Amino acid sequence: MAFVEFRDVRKTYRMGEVEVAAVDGMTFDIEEGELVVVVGPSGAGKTTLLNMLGGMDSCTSGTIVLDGREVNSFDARELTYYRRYDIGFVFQFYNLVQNLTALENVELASQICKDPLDAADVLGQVGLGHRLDNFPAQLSGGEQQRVAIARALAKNPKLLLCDEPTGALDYQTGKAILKLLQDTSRVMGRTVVLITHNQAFTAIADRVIHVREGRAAGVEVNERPVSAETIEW
Amino acid sequence: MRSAFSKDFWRSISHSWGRFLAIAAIVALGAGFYAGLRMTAPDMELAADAYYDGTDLYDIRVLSTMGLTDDDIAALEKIEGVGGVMGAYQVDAMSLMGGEQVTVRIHSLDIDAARVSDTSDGLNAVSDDSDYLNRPLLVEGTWPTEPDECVVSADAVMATPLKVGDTIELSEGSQDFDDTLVSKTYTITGFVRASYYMSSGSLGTTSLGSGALAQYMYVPTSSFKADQPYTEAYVAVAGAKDEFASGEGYAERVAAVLTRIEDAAPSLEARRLDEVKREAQDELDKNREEYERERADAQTQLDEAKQKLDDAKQELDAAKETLDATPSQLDGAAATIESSEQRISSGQAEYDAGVAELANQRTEAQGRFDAAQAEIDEQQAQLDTAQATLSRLEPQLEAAKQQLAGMQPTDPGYGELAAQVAALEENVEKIKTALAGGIPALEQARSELAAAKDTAEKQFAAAQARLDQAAAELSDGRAQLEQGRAQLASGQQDYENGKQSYEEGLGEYEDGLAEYQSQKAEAEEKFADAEKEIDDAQAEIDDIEAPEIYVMDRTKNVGAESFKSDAQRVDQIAQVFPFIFFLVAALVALTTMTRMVEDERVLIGTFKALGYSRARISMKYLAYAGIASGTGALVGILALSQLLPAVIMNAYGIIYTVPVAPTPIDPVFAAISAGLGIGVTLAATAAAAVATLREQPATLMLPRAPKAGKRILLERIGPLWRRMSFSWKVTFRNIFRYKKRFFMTLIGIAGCTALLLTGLGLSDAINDIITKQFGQIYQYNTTIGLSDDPTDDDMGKVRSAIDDKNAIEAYTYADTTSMTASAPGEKDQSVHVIVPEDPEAFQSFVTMRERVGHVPLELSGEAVLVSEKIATELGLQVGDPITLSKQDAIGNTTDEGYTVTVTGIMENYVSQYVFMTPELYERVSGEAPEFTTIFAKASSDPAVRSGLSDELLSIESVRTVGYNDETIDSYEKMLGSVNSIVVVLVVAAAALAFVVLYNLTNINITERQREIATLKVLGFTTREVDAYIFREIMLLTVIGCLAGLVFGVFMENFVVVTAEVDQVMFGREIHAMSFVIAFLLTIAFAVLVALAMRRKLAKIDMVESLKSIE
Repeated sequence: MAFVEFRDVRKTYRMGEVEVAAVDGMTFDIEEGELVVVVGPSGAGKTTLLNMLGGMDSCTSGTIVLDGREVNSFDARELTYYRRYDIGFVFQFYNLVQNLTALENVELASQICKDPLDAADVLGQVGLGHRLDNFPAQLSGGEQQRVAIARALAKNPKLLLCDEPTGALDYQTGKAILKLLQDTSRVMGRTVVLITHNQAFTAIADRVIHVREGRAAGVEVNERPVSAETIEW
Repeated sequence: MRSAFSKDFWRSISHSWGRFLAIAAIVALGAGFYAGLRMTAPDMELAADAYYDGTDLYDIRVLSTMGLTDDDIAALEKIEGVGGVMGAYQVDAMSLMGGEQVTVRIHSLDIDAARVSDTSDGLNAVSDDSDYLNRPLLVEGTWPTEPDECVVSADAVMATPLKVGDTIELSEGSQDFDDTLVSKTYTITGFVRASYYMSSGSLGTTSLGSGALAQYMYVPTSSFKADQPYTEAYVAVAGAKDEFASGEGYAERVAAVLTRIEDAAPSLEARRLDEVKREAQDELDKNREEYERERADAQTQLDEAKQKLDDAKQELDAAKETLDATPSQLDGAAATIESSEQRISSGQAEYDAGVAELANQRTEAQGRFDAAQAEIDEQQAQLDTAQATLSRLEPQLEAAKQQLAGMQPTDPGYGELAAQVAALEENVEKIKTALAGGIPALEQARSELAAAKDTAEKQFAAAQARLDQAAAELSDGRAQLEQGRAQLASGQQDYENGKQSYEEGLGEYEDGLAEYQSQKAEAEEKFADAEKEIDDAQAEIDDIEAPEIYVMDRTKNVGAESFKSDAQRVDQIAQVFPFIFFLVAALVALTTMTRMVEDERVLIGTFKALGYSRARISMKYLAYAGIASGTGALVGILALSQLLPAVIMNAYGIIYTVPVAPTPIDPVFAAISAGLGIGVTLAATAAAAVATLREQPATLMLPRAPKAGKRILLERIGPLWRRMSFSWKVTFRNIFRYKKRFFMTLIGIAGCTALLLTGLGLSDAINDIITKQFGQIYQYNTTIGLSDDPTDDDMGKVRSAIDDKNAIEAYTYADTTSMTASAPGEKDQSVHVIVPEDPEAFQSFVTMRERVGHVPLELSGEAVLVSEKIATELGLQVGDPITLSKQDAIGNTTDEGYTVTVTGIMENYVSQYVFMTPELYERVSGEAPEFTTIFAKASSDPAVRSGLSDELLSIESVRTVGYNDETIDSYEKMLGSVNSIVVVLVVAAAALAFVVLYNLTNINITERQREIATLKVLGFTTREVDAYIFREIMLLTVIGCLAGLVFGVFMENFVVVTAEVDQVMFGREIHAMSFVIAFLLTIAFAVLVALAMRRKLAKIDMVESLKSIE
């Protein structure tokens, strides 16, 4: 049994009389500790996939299993706890709480978890040990994203999900973030799923899932993923 | 085709109802309240105007101290501007109605005009008679027809409600009834409502009883005795009806006519003076004639009497002369009689001697004769004895002889017998011999004796005859003497009699003379008195001053004036109160539109980029705000301009009997209100939009950098900050980050709490009147009013009634007078001046203390305590002077009054009082106080009470018996009407709270959608997410509540002081419970909003909210 299993998952939206299938029968597996990159054109269903996997959205049909638990059958409460304890999410636009310092932003997440990592430590690990008491407005984009990652990591989740984490960042900063994520997977052994529309990223992944028109068009296992510093785009 | 821009505009409305309605709602509240409240006072005045016009209430009232005659009425009618004139009678009385003692004012009613008037619509009394004024509206029953029938007020509160057919008995009046009214008993035929008495609670003051009128009644004019002048005349000013009763036009018209009447008054006064003087003079002249006549009569009588006396005197003098001569005559006669007496005495003596002599001789002779006779008799006796013996012896002898004969000498005893016989024979012989010799001797002796006797007799007889003659002469002489004596005696008697008569006569004469003199003196005195009286009367007539004519307009009518001032009070509140709503409206609009502009930031940027002008774009938001606020204002004004005046007029309806409550929409106020509401919103919108619109399109199209987080002050307090939990840190940071929202919530919530507190405080204030005044300040529950000069007899009866411990626990006496109190520069006020007989004891009947702190006040010596409301009205503090003057029946001051210094200001809510000691009163007023009021603590048993009333009222000197319970009832009614106002306030407060909180929370949540979604993603449970947001709201609410409580205290105070009616002070305390309720209720509202918003929070879709801008 794979760490993550998607079995014929569908997500259909009804807009009046029209039915739109954002995810139209997706099936794939993910093993623990992998760095997975999900690629596909805009509107292919990548984000929807991530949302369902992260317990933020429900599927219309199919099964989603994480570490042996059927996520699709969770009710709202179970989903909440699922998100709390099992998932760490990183957004494209960081979504930090503006009114809290970097440290507090991470504490926001760590305080509700069962087995969190120390917030200051994690921030140190992402290289922001000296910026603990700054507000997001006082941090650069990259620093903010790192805080977001630290926040997600502090939760000590089973799965780290990242939705276009470098989308709002410049080239250098973006690479640094990718490096960080890769290290999280390699060094800390965490399962990381990363969405992007940038094909170049697939090089660093252990597994690549191609999504097209709501389906997993292809799943590749990368034997030799490269280091994030080396990729160019 | 509609422009796309306008399509966007309309859709923006339809896509954000919440926002649209928030603005509409708050403007509806603000504009509606403002319009509604501002229109209330005019509506009230409209109602009054309609009522006055419908019932032809007088415009001017004319009173004369000597009454008004038909000539006066005619003169008034001729004055320019006068429409109709109605002469009327009025008298106050104490009466018994439904078992209660009630002070009543009795008015004359033109029953013919009344019958013809149509009062069926309950508002108008339709009649053609322009002289029929102050038309009562018949509410129940029929108009009176007979002089002893009446109609009474339908609205006055009576302990036992009256029915048609009940009788009313009058007992005492402000004037002598016998001169004024035809009957003292009346039967109720119906009930009326009179615009003359707008205020059903306070009908006016009177000099009778407790000083306040409790009822009024209308009786046919024929009930008033025909020969008296009218007590007053009512005047309708031509064209005044067409003016609005509280307007300038009306006042001008009436003032013009009033001035003319005042100008005409002196000639009316002069004429009346002449009339009255003439009448009086005629009467005086008549009396003078009569006096002269009687005086002449009297004089004649006196003269006659004098004559008689003089005659009598003459007679007496003559008699005296005669009498004086008599004594000497009598003396002469007396002397004569004496000498006669002497002679007779000596004669008598001689005679007596003679008689004695003769008697002696006779006696002597008789003695001799008797002796002789005796001898003879003795002889005779002897002879007789002898004879007898002989007679005896002879037979004896015979017998013996016989015997002897018969016996033999041998017979025993023969010898004796023979001896006896022999003795016998001897005796017999002796005797016979004696006899033989004695008898003739005896005869001789006898004859000698007889001869001697004869001679003696003859001698004696002659002597006797001589004596007899002398006796006869003596007796003649005596008789004469007697006669003479008798004559003297009678002469003396006559003299005595004559003397006595004379004395009597003299005495009578002197009495007569004395009487005459005293009568004369009396008569002279009486003449003198009568002449003095006549002179005095003349002087009085000469002194008669011209009557004073008082000309008054409606401002002196108690009901009309207090209604007007209550309307003004409402207006004063209306001018201030609603602004709290406008303030909140401004803030709500500001935040909402700011939000809207924020939300559409990118859109605005796009429009700008497309080339739309700033003006065009701002039009969208201004139009949005304009339509929203316009709709709100429209709805609010329409609804509340009908609702608020109706509620308030209904509340006042308890005290005022106005049959109509019009609620027209005043276009001016509506316009002002709408203008304010819309204007405020537009201004706020402009303020919200202007900054954004200035920015460059590109900047606008980028997401706005979220407002930077900053350290807040609280953080610097290290120890406190470290200890705070994470969630609280977030909450505080959030609060201080969004300052605008912070203040808005604060003000909105504070406003809500303040409104609640005001409502509850108002209810407390009125409640306190009852609990404090009747529970703590008045410790007595009964007042007994006595007439000014109670008789000793009656006082005794009163004492026995009040000394009954079952009926009355304790009592004390006091002098109560209605007076006018004034202070420099302030309007005069009416007060009750109370002078307790025993100031110290009185303190257990009325608690005298300061309101703040309950500091007890002393009433002794120079103390003058005034009740708090009076002090406020006259601007008095301890140490200031207050002038008290006497009042007449209409409330005008009649003298200069006297001034005293205030020593204490007393807590008091009902009526206005001034207390002072008897010593002080006497010193400053120059009069001794008359303790004719009794304050008592009576039993609460209704049977005992009614027994007590009956007993007391049956005593003539007792005027009134009043129980506080009746007053408490009327206040409780007032409280009931205030409750409806309180409800309005609570609802308004709730609405305010809801709108503000809902809007703010809405904005809050919308603005932080991403943040909330992130939390959800992070795995915060629903409860945790709710708490995250609502913690802020609750904290702000609590702070707002506290601020609101403080603000509310001031607001409540303002409302209470402004809405207070005259003569009553509302409680100044807000009960602790009210604070608690206001606080909790506001919190409750906040909680409700929070619960309502939970759904919104729940609906935030993580996915949607976190969608990147792609």
